Amino acid sequence: MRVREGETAGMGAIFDRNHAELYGFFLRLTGSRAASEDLVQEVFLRILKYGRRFRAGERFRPWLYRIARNAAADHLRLAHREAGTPESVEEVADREWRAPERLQADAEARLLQRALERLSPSEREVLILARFQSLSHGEIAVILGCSPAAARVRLHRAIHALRDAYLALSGGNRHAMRRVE
Amino acid sequence: MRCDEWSERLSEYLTGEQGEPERRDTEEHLRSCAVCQKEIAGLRETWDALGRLPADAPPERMRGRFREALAAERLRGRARRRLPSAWPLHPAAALAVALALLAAGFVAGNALARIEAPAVEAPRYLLLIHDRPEGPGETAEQKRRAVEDFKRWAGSLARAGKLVGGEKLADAGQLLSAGPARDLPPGPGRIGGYFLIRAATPAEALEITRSCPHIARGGTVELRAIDPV
Repeated sequence: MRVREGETAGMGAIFDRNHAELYGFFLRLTGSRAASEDLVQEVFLRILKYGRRFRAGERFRPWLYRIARNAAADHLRLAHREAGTPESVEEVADREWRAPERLQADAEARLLQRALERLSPSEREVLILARFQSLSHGEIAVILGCSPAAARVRLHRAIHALRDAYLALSGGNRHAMRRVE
Repeated sequence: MRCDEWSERLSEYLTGEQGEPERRDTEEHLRSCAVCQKEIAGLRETWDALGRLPADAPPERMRGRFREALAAERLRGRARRRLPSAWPLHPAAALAVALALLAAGFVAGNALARIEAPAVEAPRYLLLIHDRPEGPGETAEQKRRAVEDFKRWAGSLARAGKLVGGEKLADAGQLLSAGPARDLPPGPGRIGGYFLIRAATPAEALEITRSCPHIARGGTVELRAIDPV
């Protein structure tokens, strides 16, 4: 893996292979195209800087998403510092989350966006990681820095929260909203 | 197992995290349990809809932007390694001194000079100064005027933020390949020095190169774009 060398030579290829996926991750996480573009750039510059910390045998994608998560957290912290309001990172993430305009293609997508808006940032995050980035529970655990069991529970709760919000928004009566718990 | 105990397993079933035996167990339970059937139907509808959420392609400019940043990073890393932390002169003064040495070096073929200017994020081009054929000896006045020309040229590039660096190469050199090393043969066409510049467009790079005093003096300058791989 060239990334370990921390050199600029292999970075072009690493960028080409991963930037679209990462852009999708940030776009869904932040809802902002401009922020997503900046964040993708930031992640690859960090890889350039910290590539030497990548251990041989370590899996690349969880490592990549750990950097991505940190970059997103720093971005939100910065946005909050500039705004000068005493909000938590989560509150800022919540306020900042806007569905990307182009995603408003059809009613289903619109509905789902509204459902996603009702979730907490950490619920959105785990859903995005599991659904769009095709990461396993084990990999998600590495990214979130928790045990696989904790990652499983978190995802489970997020799926249920989204289901409840989505079905409630889509008319409610089509499905009995009986929670099994 | 009661249905509420199945709940977490249904999430794992849904996300495809279950292994083959667990998956079979879950499906067997689902066949016989109306409550869990309803539960998994609602979850699946949401999960599938989530998967259909359209994705935006990243803008094409990102690629170029990253390669630019990469080139700048590479350049900065090199500058950091080269410049001592306590550079004895004000950067502008150091640049002037370096330029003077450089210009003198190109003409008199003695001093080796090195300059570093702030990196501006525009494509970089390398100007390779080919040695001129040996002509009749230049007068002291001609040499002095050539020095002035180079100074003016490099100075105006530096002020415009277009000069990244430039160095005069020593006359002696070796050619290395699999065999034994050979001394660089004398003669015209050898690389006598280089300038690294930044230009917004290839046309601007051409224009800058044409204005190099080496050309006015009958020399040849090779212009090469840096490939931002």
